Amino acid sequence: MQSEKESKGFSISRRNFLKGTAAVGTTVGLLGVSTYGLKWLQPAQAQTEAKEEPIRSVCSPNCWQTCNHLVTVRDGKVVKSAPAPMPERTYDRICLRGLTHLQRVHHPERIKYPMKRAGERGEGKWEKISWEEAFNTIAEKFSQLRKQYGKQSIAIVGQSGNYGVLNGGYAGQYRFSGVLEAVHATGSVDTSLSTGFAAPMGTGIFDAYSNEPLDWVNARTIILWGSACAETQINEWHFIQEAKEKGARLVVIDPIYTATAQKADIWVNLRPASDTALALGLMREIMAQGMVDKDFLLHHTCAPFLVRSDDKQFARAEKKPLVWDTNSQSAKPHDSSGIVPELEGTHPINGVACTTAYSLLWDKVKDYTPQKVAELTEVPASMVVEVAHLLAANKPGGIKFGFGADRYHHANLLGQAMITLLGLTGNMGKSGNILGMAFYGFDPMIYNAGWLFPAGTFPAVLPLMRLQDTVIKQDPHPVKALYIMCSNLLVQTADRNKWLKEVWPKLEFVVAVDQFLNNTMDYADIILPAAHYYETEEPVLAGDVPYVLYRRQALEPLLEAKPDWEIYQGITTKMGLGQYFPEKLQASKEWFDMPILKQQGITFDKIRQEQAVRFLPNPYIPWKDGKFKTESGKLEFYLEKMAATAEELPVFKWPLEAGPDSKLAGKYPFVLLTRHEKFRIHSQYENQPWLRELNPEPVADLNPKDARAKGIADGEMVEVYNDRGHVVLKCRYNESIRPGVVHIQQGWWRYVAGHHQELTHAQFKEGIFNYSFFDVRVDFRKYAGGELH
Amino acid sequence: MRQVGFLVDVSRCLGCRACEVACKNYFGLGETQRYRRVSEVEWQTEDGIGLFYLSLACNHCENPECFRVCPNRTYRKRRDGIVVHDAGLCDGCCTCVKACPYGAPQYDADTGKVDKCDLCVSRLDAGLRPACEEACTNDALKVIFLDRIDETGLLKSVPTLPDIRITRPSIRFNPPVVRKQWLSKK
Repeated sequence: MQSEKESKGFSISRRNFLKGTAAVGTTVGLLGVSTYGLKWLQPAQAQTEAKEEPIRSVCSPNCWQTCNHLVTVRDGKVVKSAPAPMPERTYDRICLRGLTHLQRVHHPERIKYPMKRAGERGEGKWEKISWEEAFNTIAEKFSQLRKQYGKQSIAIVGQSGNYGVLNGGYAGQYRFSGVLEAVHATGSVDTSLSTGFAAPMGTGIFDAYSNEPLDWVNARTIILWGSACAETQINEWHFIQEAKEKGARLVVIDPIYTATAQKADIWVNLRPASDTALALGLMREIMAQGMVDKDFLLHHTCAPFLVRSDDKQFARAEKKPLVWDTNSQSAKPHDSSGIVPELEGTHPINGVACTTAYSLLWDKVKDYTPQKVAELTEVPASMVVEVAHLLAANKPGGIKFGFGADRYHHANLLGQAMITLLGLTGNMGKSGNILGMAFYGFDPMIYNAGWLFPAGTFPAVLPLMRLQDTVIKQDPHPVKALYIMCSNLLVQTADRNKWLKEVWPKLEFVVAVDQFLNNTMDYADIILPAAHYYETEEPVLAGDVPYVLYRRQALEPLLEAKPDWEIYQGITTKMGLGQYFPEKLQASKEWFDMPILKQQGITFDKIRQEQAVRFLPNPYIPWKDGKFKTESGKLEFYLEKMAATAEELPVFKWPLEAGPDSKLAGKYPFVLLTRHEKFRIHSQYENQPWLRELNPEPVADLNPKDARAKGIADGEMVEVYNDRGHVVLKCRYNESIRPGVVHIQQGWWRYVAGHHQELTHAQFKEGIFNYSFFDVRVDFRKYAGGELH
Repeated sequence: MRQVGFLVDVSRCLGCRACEVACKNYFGLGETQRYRRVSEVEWQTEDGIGLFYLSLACNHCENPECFRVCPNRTYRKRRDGIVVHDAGLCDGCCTCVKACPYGAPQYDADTGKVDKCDLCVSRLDAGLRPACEEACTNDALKVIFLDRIDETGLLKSVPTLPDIRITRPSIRFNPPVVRKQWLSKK
């Protein structure tokens, strides 16, 4: 009976898959029909076999919620995923995506065995090979390239597909590239906003700088800035909901009327890319009305620091920034005892006029009156005032940013403006504060350098968005080979045509590791099947939960899949470097050998037993002592090192394309936003039937006014295009989209023709290196089929 | 009379659909069956467009139409009020599918039979919460004993829910929070 049900499998409609390239057709044919069904589970059985011991695993893609799952495995098959109890039950969690993992583990289209390319790249013809042959081929090719061009002819390319320590993109992968001394191309996503936000605190961009979510319930004002939290980090939402029910006011700043914005008390519907103008307007209102937290500014920020008019650096004595002491009417080091620093003013010191950082900030923001901000952002002036007053007077509060606002060229200035706003209002170091984002995986875990680089050799770290030009120009590294893992590179990076037309022809060898034949696999030379989260055992970097996490293996890797760690073992052994990749339990144990954990008695045995152990104080509220990690120990919202580019204080600049001043605005009147929705995490969860049922195919969301103006009816096919490329997909009338905006859900693998990443560009801001996925102009027209440009 | 039912807080619901997928996960449902369904409710008000999400499964009605119309007597109302269906007796005639105002019975093209939400009776009997309630990310969905709760302040219906007078569904709603409606169709 069971086998009969199995053989039927689930019937995902392939309609959408087959619209893609010819390679897809081959793919489906090659991998054959379903051998794993989904309907073995009968409700009666689920409880009658009560003795079943579910295994605790961690779902760890880059929503960074790192939900712990209880996975029920029956006869070698995952039959159920359920939320696992966390040390604080308020963190119990699972979401619609996590609930579909059994469909991913047992998906009929999973890559079954290693394969090598049998036709041209992109043709989709593959030949089965053994792991032995795969390891030999990779090791030989890597060795040959290293000999011929140097060690940095190999680039290990990673993104955020897995937070596992051994098999993910943030620890084990560094170890692999470090041992090989290869180029390590990573990052370039979500890093601009946080760069500006973290620098004044002196922390790393993904450090643990915010209060943990369970404390958010004490907030009185919550600003979600470019964050669709209710869809993207669903499990953080209930804390915000609870704060709201206790009387907090919720402000959502987003050009799209998202499910999150629907829950807002105030929806700030701003023009795309105008965020920093809004932030400056909020600052101006708060400063003009005298609503700043003067005590916090004077004692915990650089506001009273005197800045030299000649070199724009802090005036210093004995390396200490000076402030103007109103008692002695003289300049004194900022940490002198018994002084009363002056907040505003200019004084000559050694013949150089010096002005307080606060006064300089006022000079930058004073022109951003509510009326001017209303013109720039299209937000009513009264709303600018209302939000400013909430943040300054209805305390405690905070700003939770999403990365919607990060996707523009000058997003670092917005991050800097946000943290300055929070400093002005003294909303830091207190219960009920939110500082940007809750993230506890990297700080201090990722700094276990001894584990990351056991050979004492290091990778050449390259921002991912510089990889295209590095390969094309063979400078600064002679990259000839890519090893891509935890990344669907051609869907999650910009300017796809440049990758395929200019980068790929220069590559001698491409290895890609994944579970499905996604777009990136289409263009690889060797493809390797990766194990699923449930099929591995390892520590997991926590995201927004304050725990050390550990996942147990729920089932053996299916078919011939291998965890990434075992793939490293295979490759490095063939290259004579296998000693750096010990057995997984040994490697896991070594990972936990770090002071922060040892001090708290968190041993490997304990973590392997309990699987989720708190390592931060409860509740975690940083900055309580008002001391930051900068040299002066104060919040340095004035960034001395940015003076050279006149960005020492937040300023507003329209980005490259999305602003109304863009020279492309006439030719391409629409801004393309490719936001995250609830049905996927980046390019993951593409083909889970339960999710595809809810989200069957990609659509271009258009405001009906814009679509009607071009004579396009709801549901008709449209071509969205610009000079870089195009994408063809169905139009959906959607009133929640602002006129002037085209929205496509990010992460889709395949379209009727083209791809949304053909439209995006990889231009970066020097020193920032962040993809500006939303800083893109397009136009659209009815698609009549036939030849495309 | 005991009556188990659902309490839905439409203001808390995010429309995240974890309940819907958890249900599919628990019952191992294929493409054609959705025992729980979340719909986006949109209606025009004087201020603009109002929005909320409505998560519905079987309402385990006091007067179940499915029970009344089924020619094969496949439906049974338990003493706790839960309406259960014996798929073994079902010949897939779909009379109940047409009769249920709420779309609860779902036809499975693979088996040629109908089935529906049984409020996870086997889980309830084992002292566990239904799969949908367990998965709800925002405590918007709760199982209640209608005979035990104080219904003051609760609603029996919300916009778009079909007429409740015929079957008397065992579902209650927290009143939707009224907030400014930002979108306008004008």
